[in-house]
Amino acid sequence: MNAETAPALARYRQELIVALRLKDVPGDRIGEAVAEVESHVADTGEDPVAAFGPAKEYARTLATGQRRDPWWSTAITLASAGTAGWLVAQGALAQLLGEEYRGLAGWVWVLVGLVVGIPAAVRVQRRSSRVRDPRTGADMVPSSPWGVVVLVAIPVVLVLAAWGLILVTR
Amino acid sequence: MDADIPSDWLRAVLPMAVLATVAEAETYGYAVAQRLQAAGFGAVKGGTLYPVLNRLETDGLLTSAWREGVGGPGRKFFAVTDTGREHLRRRAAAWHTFTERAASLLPDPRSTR
Repeated sequence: MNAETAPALARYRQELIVALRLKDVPGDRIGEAVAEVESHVADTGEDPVAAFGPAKEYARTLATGQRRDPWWSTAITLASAGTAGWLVAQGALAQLLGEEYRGLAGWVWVLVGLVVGIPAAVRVQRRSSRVRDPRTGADMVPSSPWGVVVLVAIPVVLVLAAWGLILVTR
Repeated sequence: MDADIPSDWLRAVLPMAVLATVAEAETYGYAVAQRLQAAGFGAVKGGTLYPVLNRLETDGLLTSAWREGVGGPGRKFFAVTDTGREHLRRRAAAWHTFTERAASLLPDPRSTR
């Protein structure tokens, strides 16, 4: 690699990571693909676009045969994560107040919430899998555990707010 | 490569040629490309070569491992598996049968007809 190709390579790396992410390619696989490009152009001294084609098109080639989640799957994940947070919070609230929620004990709702939420949490976690550099084991992009946290936190905050409202109006 | 060899012939034979190259000795992407060029396949771009290597690995015909380069970034080395060797043997046999049949059907450019 020389001084002229380094910025081109950095840009290509970013574009390829984004394009493969959009195609739901697992993080480990993305890391492999990026490392292959970097290693190859380091040997040939080529421009990455000349050697591999535009990042978007190369990503499409790599993702061929890769099953992509349909939009409704994302919608179900979001809806079930939200519902789960809501049920857990409502159940916990009912349990704390020693009341029933819709005719059932609070802990039952907490349990139902967990059953609904765990598959969604697993899906989100899997999709945000780390992009690991196979050569060094380091993260290629700063990993973010926030996806799951935000998804669970929003309904919990909503219910806590409702809880506060109930306590105030009593 | 000769200008009149159609690119879809190359596409068809490339996985087999790549597998054969790796079967000669454990090697990495750029060295495979050089070997193919020396064999008359023309310049095979990285964007064509790595998907083929990855596909062969997914199919269990190759394995790969990253190794530290000498004073440079690491390289991904590929080695043939037993399954890959057996696959290559069968494919090579089929290929020779196929090209013999094609050759017997096509006019011979050296004949005067």
